[in-house]
Amino acid sequence: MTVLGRFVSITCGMLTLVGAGCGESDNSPGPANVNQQSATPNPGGSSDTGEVWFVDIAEITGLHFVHTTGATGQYHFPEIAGSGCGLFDYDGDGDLDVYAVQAFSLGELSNADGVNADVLQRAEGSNRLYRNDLAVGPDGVVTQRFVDVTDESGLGDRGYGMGLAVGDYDNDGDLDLYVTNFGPNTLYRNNGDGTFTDVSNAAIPPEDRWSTSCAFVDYNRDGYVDLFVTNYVNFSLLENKICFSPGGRRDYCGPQSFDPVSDRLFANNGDGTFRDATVEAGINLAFGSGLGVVCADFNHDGWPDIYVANDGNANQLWLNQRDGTFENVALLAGAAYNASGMAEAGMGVTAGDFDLDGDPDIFLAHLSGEHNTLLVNDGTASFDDRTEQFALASMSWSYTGFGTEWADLNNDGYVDLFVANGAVKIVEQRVDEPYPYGNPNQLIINLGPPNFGFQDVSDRAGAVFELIETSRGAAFGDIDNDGDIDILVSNSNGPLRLLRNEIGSRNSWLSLRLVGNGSSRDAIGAEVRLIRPEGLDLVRRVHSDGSYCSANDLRTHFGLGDDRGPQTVVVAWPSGLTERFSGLPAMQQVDLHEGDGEARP
Amino acid sequence: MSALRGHAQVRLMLGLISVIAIGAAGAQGPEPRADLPPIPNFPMGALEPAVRQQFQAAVDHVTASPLDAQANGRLGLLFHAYEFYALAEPCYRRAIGVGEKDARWRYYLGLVLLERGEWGLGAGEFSAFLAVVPDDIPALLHRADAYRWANRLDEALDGYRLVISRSTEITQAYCGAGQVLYRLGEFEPAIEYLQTAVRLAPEYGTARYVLGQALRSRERPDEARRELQLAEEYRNQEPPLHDPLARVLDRIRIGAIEALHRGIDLLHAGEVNEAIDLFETAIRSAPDLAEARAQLGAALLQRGDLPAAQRSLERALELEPNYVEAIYHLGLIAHRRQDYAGAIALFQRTVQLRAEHFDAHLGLGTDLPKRGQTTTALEHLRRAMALRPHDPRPYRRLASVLSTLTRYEEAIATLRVGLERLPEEVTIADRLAWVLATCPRDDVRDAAEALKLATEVCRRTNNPAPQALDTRAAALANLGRYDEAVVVAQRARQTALAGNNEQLADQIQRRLELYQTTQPYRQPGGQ
Repeated sequence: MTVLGRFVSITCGMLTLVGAGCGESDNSPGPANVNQQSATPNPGGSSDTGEVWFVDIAEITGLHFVHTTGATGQYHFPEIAGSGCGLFDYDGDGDLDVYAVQAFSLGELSNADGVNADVLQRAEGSNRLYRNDLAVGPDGVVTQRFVDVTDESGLGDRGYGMGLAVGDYDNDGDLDLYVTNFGPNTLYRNNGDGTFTDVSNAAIPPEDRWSTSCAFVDYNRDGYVDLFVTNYVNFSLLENKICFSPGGRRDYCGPQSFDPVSDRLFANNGDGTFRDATVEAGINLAFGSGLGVVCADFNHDGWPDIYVANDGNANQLWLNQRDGTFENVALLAGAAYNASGMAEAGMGVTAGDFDLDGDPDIFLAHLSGEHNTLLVNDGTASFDDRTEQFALASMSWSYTGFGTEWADLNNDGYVDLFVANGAVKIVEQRVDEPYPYGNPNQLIINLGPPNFGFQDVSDRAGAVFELIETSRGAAFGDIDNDGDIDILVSNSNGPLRLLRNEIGSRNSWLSLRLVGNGSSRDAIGAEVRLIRPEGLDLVRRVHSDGSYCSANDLRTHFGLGDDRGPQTVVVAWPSGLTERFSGLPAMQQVDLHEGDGEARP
Repeated sequence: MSALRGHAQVRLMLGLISVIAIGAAGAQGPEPRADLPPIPNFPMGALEPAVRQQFQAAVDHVTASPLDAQANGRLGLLFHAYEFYALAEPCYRRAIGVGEKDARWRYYLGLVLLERGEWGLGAGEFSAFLAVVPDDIPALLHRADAYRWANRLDEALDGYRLVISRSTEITQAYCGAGQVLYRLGEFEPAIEYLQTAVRLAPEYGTARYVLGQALRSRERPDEARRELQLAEEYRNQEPPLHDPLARVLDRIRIGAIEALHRGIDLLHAGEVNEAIDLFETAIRSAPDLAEARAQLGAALLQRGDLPAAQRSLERALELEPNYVEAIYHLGLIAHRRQDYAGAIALFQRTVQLRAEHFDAHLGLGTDLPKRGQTTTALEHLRRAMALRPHDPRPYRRLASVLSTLTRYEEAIATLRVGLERLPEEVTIADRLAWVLATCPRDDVRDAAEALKLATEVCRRTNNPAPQALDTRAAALANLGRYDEAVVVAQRARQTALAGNNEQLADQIQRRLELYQTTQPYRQPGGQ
C-alpha cells in the first residue's frame, strides 16, 4: 500500500467566477492559479449559501479546444452525433490529462468519386492530447496548466472522431487508448515515454463501421482487458438521406432512417494482440443502433456483464455466462425498454449504486420528449424502471441527454448525476441561431437516505450551467487532485469545457488507485466496498467506461461526508481474490496493490 | 433485388422550400395586455411555402386582432400541429386569457403541456376542461396519464377507475390502472387490470409488457416470458382512442411535402396502398413534383403494378430528365419483365449519372451475366462492395459469379472477407458453406468446415431457412453421412414447399435423390 499524500493545501478563498479569486486568471501562457476554497465541512454538500459549485476553467488553463462537426449544410448524419472526451493519466505523473476528440468536414469528401467512410481521413486537424501540468508550490498555491502535446505524443488521430476507451491492455503499467471513428478505429499503445504507437494493423482486427462508445473489460477474467465496441448504424456518405422537420425545414435524420449494425467484442490474446470474439461470444445475436456502453457485474456473480444503450431500439443486457459467451437477457430482466415497454433513444449510460444496496443501477440519457431513465437493480440483474418514483422524469423531458455519470460530486457519500445535454433536432426556440441544437446541462443531486430522491440544482450550480451549448461527451475525474470530482464536457461545434468542482472537497473523501497483480494491471472491473460502521457501505467499481463516447478517471472515489477518520475497504479483484485494506487515511489518494491486503474468504 | 432500398427518402426540393425569410411574426398588437404572454416570435423562412402561407394567414389574423380568442387559439393549433409546442403554449394561454369561454383551448393547452413534460400543469388544464365537459373520456384519460407521469399515483388510479366507471371498453384505462398498481407494488390487482386490457385488445404492446413485468415480480417466469415475447411482437401497437379534438390537429397539416412525408413513412412501414394514396394527394397538390411521381412509381412497383409504375416514373423523367432514382426504378421494371438488355441499359445510365449508385451496380452485377458479360459484372459487384462494405449482397453475388466461372478460391476468399466484415450475416456464412461443401475441386472443397459453418447457421436461426438446411445436407453428404443428409434434405424440401418456393424444392429433391443413392452433390465444373 502506498500513500501518495496528494492532499492539496488550502490557501485562499474560493473562486466565484472565472477570472476572479486570488490567483492569476487571464490567458497568459503561464500556469493558472487554481487555488482551493477554504475547507469548511458541509455534510449536506449542497450550496445553499449561493456559492458556485462548478466553474469552467478550460480557457484559463490552456484548453483552447473547439470542436467542429464540419457541417456544410448537407446534414450528414455523423455531424449531429458529436464527439466525446477523456481524462486519463497518460504520462503516469499522478494527474489526469485531457483527450479531446475532433471531427472535420465531410462535405467535400462526400462529393468525391470513390470516397467512402472506410477511408475517411482528414487533411488537417486531429484529436488533441493536453498534458496536465499541475503543481503545488512551497506556499501551497496550486497551479494548473494544460499543454498541447498532441504532436509529440502521436495521439493526433485524424479520423472523424467519436469516442475513446482507456485501459492498460498490455499490462505494462501505462494506459493505452482505443479511438472510435466514423470510419476506421485506432488502437494506440502507450510506449511509457510520453509517446504512443498506432498498432491498429498489427494488434487488432479492423473495425471500420461507425463506432461510438467503447469499453475495456476483462470479460473472461484472464488478467488482460478485452474491448467492447459499440456500433451505431450503417450510414454511408454516398447514401445520405434527406429529412425534414414537420414544417418542412431541412434537419438531420434519425437512426430509424438507417439500419443498425452489430457491436464487436475483441478478446485480448495476452500477447499484445486482440482477436474478434464477437461471434464466439454471441454478441452478434442481438444489436441495435448503439451509442453507449457500460460494463459492471449486474448480477453479482463475480463476472463482468455488459449493458448497451441503443438509440431507438431495445437495449441489450449481456449477462456473462462465465464460459466466454454472453446471453442477452434485457427483455426478461426489464432492461430493454422503459416502464411502458417502449424503446427510447439511448445515448449515454452509467451504472452505479445510487441507493446503497450494493448493486449497480443504470441511468440512461435520452431524447427530449422522452425522459432519462433510471433502472433500479434488485441485485440479481433484474431491473425496474423507477424514473418517475425518483422524480427524475420531468426534469429531463425538455432536453436531449448524452454524457452522464453517477459521481459523488459533493462528497456526501451518495452518487449524483451530471447530464450533458444537446439536441439532435432543431430546437424550435432557437431556429434562427446558427447551430440551433443547444440545451443547458444539468446537475442533479442525490438526496440520500432514506428515500434517495433527486433534485435538479442546475440553477445554483454556476454560470456554466446557464450556457446553451450542444454538449455530447462528459468525462469525470479529479483533475486537480483536491479530492472532488471535476467534469470535462465536449460540445459539438463548441469549446471544450472543464468544470472544476468548487465545493466537493469541503467534505471528506478517499481516492484509490488500484494496481492489479493477477488481475489486469489497471484493475478494471474491481469492486471496492468501503465499510461504514454506521450506515450502509459504499460500493464503487474501477472503470473508465460509461457516459457517452468518453473515458473517465480510473481512480475510485469515495465521498465521506464529515468522516475524517481512517477507512477500511474490501476489494474484490477480477482475479477472484478478495482483500481487506484497513487504516486508509481520509482525504488522501492511496494506491492499493493486489496481494498487499488482508486476504478475505 | 430490393426495389426501394436507398430510395424511400425525400430529396431536397429547392424549388419548394424557399430560403427567403419573410420575417418574424412578432408584431405585438396595438394594445398589448400585460397579463397575456406575447405573441410568439417565429421565423418562417425555411418553411414549405404552403405551410408558410398557412402560418402567415394565422399570424396576420392575430396581429390584426390580438385579443381575438379564436385567432389566438387557431395560431396555437397551427404551432401545435407542426410540433412547435413551446410556441403553441402562449397562444393557447392568450386564447384563454382574453376571456374565451371555449373550453377547447384548455384541452389543447393540456395536450401541449403533456408534450412538454409539464404533467402537473397539464392535469390542471384537463381538470379545467372537465369542469365544463365533465364526461369527456379522452380528457379523463389524459388527466389520469398526467397524474401517473407526475407520480401522483393515487389521483391517477382514481382517474383510471373513473374512466372505467364511465365506459368499460376503454382499454387504456385498464392498462393505466395496471401500471399504477404495479408501481405501487400491488401486483395481483395490477395483473387483473392488465389481463383485462389484453383481453380487450390482444395486440396492446404496452399492456402486454407491463403484464409481463408484473408476472415476473410475482415469480411467474413462464407466463412473464410469454407476455414479454408478445409485447415484443406488438410493440408500439396501441388501441385507437376516439379523440375528436386531437384529430383536428392531424387535419391541420397540409402541403405536398407533408403528404410526401407521410407517404414515405407509410412506405417504410410496409403500408403500400396508403402510401400510394398520399403520393397521389401530393401530386394533386403539386402536379410537377417529380419526387412524388417517382415515389409513387416506386410504391406501385412494390405493389406489383408494373404498367402504372412505369407511367409514373416516365412522368417523373419528363419533369426531370436526369432524375436518377426514376431511371433506376425503370431499370428494375425491365429486370422484373426479364428484359435484361433494357435493365442493363437503364442501370448503366444510372451509374453514368451517379457513379456511386450502389443498387444500380448491384443490378448490373446481377443482369450482365445473363447476357454473358461476366467480366464487366464482376467489376460492378466489386464497385458495389467498395461502396457499401457492410451490405452482404455484393459478397454473395460476386461469389456466385466467380463460382460460375469456376474461380472457386476467389469465391471463397470473397465470402471470407464478407464474413469477417459481417460476422452476424448468416447468409454469407451459408453461401461460404455451400461453396466449400459443393465445390467440384477436391483441393478446394472442405466439407468439414462447411458442415461446421452450416450447423452454426442453423443454430443461429430459430427456424432455419430451406437454403441453410440444403447447405447442411450437402455438407453431410460430402462427408459421406448420407443418412443424416437425407433427413436434413427432406426437411429442407418441406420447408421450401411450406414457403411456396417450389423451384428450390425441386432442386433439393434432385439432390435428395443423389443422397438416397449415396452420392454427394457437386456444382458443375469438374476438377
